[in-house]
Amino acid sequence: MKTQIISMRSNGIFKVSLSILFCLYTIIAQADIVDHIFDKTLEVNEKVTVKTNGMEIPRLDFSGWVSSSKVKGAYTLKTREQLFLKVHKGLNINTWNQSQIRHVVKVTVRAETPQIERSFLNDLEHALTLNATENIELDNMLGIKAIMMKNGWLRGIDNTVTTANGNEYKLDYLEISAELFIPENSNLEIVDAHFTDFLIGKLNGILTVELEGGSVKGTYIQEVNAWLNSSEVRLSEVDLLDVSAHQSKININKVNDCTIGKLPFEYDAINFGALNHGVGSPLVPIVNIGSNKEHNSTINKYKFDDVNRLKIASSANDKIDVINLNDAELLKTNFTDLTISTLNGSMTGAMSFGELDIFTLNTIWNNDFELESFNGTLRIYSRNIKDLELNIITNKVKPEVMLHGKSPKEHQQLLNNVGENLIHIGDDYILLENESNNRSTNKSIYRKGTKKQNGSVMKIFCNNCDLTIR
Amino acid sequence: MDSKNEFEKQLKFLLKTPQEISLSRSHWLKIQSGFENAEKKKRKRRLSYWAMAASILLLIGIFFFYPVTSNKSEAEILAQYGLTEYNFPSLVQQKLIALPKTKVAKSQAEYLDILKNQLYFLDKQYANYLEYINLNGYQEFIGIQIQNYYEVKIELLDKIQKEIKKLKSRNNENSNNINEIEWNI
Repeated sequence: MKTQIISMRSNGIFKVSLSILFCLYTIIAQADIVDHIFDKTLEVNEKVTVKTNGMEIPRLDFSGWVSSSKVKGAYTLKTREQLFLKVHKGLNINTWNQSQIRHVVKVTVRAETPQIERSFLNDLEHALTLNATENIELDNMLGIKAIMMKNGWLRGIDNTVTTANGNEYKLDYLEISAELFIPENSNLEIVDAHFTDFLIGKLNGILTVELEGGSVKGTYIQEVNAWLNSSEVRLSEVDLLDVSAHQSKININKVNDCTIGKLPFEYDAINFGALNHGVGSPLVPIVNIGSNKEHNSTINKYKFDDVNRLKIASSANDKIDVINLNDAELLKTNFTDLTISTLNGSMTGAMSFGELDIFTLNTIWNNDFELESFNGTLRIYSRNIKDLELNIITNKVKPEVMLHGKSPKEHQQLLNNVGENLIHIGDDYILLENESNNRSTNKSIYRKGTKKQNGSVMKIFCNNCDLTIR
Repeated sequence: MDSKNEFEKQLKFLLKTPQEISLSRSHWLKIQSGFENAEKKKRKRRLSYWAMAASILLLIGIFFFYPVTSNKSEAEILAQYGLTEYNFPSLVQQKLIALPKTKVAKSQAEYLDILKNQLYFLDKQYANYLEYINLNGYQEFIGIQIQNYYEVKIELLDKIQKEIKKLKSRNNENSNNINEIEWNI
């Protein structure tokens, strides 16, 4: 009986000590995780050019089970239910009134022994070198070159990370996030970035960005040269915008000078320049996630509140909405829909297919409107057209010039004005069927030698297009 | 002395013809075929061992070295990202069916090809997303891209439909249009 009690006691002691050991092991295992913040500051020239990449996953090589935990805003990799890699996809690029660059990278690491962790962090420390003053290159992944993951049935997990100097480390966990501080007057080049979300502070310099599957958000940027694919740009104000994009969304409140796409000779020159830049240049994508090197603009959605000058150099099937636009030049647009709430100045150029809607022509209209449309649809809603000259190529297409009155009285007044000085059509004869009701009228218009009023002439060259002027 | 006699005895036996050792021809053939069968069985057994070893090696190879993530169906990928409710594939299919073959002027067809190429471009993007999933697992941001791909594709198919409709009505009005060719996706 006594021996039985002793054995029961010893059994209990064994269980308690086992659970204490387990707790201790858990605490020790937790303590193995090392947080390290690399924080480097460098004095630079105020107009420094800072080149950085996104939060890029380096070359990945794996065999076995790999999954992700679908964490929002992060790239994650799990091997057999164990989270191994987490890279935060958001990168804040703050600007300040100091001639300094500060690069902060937080690395959390866990390996079998503290020695491996320390050695790995030392290698990263060496990769983070800031030694130039005019052109600085910053790698947010601190030189990590490759990640290899091997695991499988009846086989252990083997995760190896290769650093810039070629050393390989077996790690159990790696997490990276970064933040950047640059001078407000510097130039920023974002190169070869994929699936990274950039938040950029006020920048009185040039932002050059090549981005796939990510976003750029910010306030004021003096000049933006962007090449985008499946990305989003959301900014408050830009002085000079030059954008070539595919399947992207661009939303900017105010732009002074905006160029969409490039003409073939322009991007030939760029590609020639890219040859000189070599791989790694913002103009030469390395990973082609649907990459298209053409510097035109296709299948994008643009939204602007105020644009002073808009030049569409090369656009195919874009949707461009502008609330207030001063001057527009359309060089090569195919299937592009352009909607302008108020046009204050001139519009020149040509568009093939696609639609143009102008809801208001400003009363201080004093510039040229000379537009050629091939198979397009033009709708201009305005009572402020002083003089109109139409040139219709396909004579069976019936342009609709319709006048609207808010009330029957006002409508009658408008009708009385027609034929005096409102509309002038060139030498072509156009037959329009008359159709009227209380509120609107299709009017057949043909007047030769109409005395033009002061102000500009609206000239529309319409080749097989639909035309509505109301 | 005994061993010498024994040796001579055996030598004599070996030098005898089948007839001399009093075996009938049928007995001799039976023995011969018995040897051949045994040889064949051995060979077969050896072959089956090799085959078994090779298949075991192959299985091990598959388990240890072949990446487990493989190409999944469109429906499986959409389910993985919680996009099933939007019925994107069936919507795309409906839009594709609704696009008729049409006759347009040659100059117009060249322009419509711009839209067709954009469809190819989008599909290439989608193929790249699948490749990315295979290489990197189901990252959350790829789900957003896939949703965007379907939305843009549906809009593009609508656009093609709209432009064809416009062209048809214009071309009907200008019935004397020349040099028409057939155009479809």
